[in-house]
Amino acid sequence: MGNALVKSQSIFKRFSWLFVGGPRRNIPWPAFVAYSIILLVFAVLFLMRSAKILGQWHFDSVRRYAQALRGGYLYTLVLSFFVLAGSVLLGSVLTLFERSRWYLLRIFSYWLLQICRGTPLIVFIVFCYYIVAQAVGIQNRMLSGVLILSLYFSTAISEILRGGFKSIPQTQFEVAQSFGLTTRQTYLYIIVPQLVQRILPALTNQVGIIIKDTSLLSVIGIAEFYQTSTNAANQSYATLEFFLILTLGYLVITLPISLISKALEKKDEDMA
Amino acid sequence: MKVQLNNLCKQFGANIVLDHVNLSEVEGSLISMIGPSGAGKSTLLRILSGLDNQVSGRAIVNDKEILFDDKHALRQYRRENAVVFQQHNLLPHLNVLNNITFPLRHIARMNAKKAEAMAMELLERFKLTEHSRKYPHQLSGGQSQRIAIARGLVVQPHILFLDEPTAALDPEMTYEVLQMVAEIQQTGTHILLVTHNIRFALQCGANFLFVDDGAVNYYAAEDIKQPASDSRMAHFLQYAML
Repeated sequence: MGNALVKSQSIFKRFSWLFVGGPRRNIPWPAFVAYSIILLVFAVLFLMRSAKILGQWHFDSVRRYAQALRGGYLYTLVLSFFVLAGSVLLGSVLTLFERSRWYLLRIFSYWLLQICRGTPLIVFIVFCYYIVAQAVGIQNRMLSGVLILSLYFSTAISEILRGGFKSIPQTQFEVAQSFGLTTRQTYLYIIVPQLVQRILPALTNQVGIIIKDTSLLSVIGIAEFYQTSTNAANQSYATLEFFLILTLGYLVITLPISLISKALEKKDEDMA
Repeated sequence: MKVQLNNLCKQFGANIVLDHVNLSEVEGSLISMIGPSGAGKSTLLRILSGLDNQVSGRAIVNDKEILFDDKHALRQYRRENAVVFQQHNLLPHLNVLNNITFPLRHIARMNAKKAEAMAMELLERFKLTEHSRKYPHQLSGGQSQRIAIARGLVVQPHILFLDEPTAALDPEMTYEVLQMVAEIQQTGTHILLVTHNIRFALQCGANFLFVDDGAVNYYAAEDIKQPASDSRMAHFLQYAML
């Protein structure tokens, strides 16, 4: 086994001038750029072939729907913002429930977690909108959508918070106690700063997830980006163009977010 | 520093750690608690430093009883003393200087400038000034323990409690830290030290509390050097390399 490893490593060394591969961790940036460009070229060629089958580029149609698209995009961003705020709020409450002395609260959070983890988001949205929201009496679609997603993601946020709490060494609480700090001072000056630092990578990751999953609100008729783009695509011949814009629209937000998340993870590693 | 215990009981669930412990008044500027692991040394230190109040019985330190039921008095008592734990003492989100001035700013409500001056004075005394702007994760184990001790000293505590400060350190860092402890003992700080390093405690002229099997017994320095009459003590000391 060791022999095969040595052999494959020497083969790599022989071909390293070809820039083909190397040790797992660091891809040298020239290789990254070069191979990314090659993949991009293939993707573009593939798309052009697809375009040729459908005729030619129809960007004039795109211009007609530009207004609607922009509205949908904005709507997605606004929804994401409120869902993020809502889920952090509800997630904090849920974390308090979980750490509570009262059985009812702990069991409530247990079941909520199981349900949210166990059902696909699309099912959750549909169920909550057509059944729960009617029962509670919420008419406004946007409000329902935001509340439903906030509820769903509150479980993820509370998991993140719980993980963050657990990662703070117990000694920190004892140090605070030994200073003679009140509970409020302990949380304000010692726990919360550390907590925020520790959950930042997971939290930014969650932001990306929230932004993407707002697209599922289209099933209850909310005219966000996905809805408007696919409507436009269906009503015109420019399906490829609209789908391209749709994909890129999300990537433009999520790629920077994942870069930030990676950078924060690295910072976290240094700190640990 | 004086310590006296009357009928002190502490148990964790079914596990009785301290069983009606009676200790007639023990005096000393450095008291070292020794004993087998899990015997209750750290527990006793926590009780004497006011961190653990789920106890029955009485503990009297420096002629004042620790009022376990009075939250306010207990908090006040904690503010008068300082504790250094085995690890994770420093606040990771603050640099060394802010770590040391933290108790001054938040408990003593000192203004930042005055607090920083006091902190720098202490850092200079122990030749740690080069670390003042660093963050805890940039320090070695020995450095961070010494900074933690400095932070304990900055509030001018009645007693400095040290709970196995060198247990997580290699021999070189252990030496660094113990040197510092010896120095602060010389300059008059009262110290209660839980350690496995009995030889160091003897060098500093400590008096000993042997914690074992739910009981606490006092041994002066001379008693440790003599072959012990108590079989448990003898068994415990045979590996101490005195």
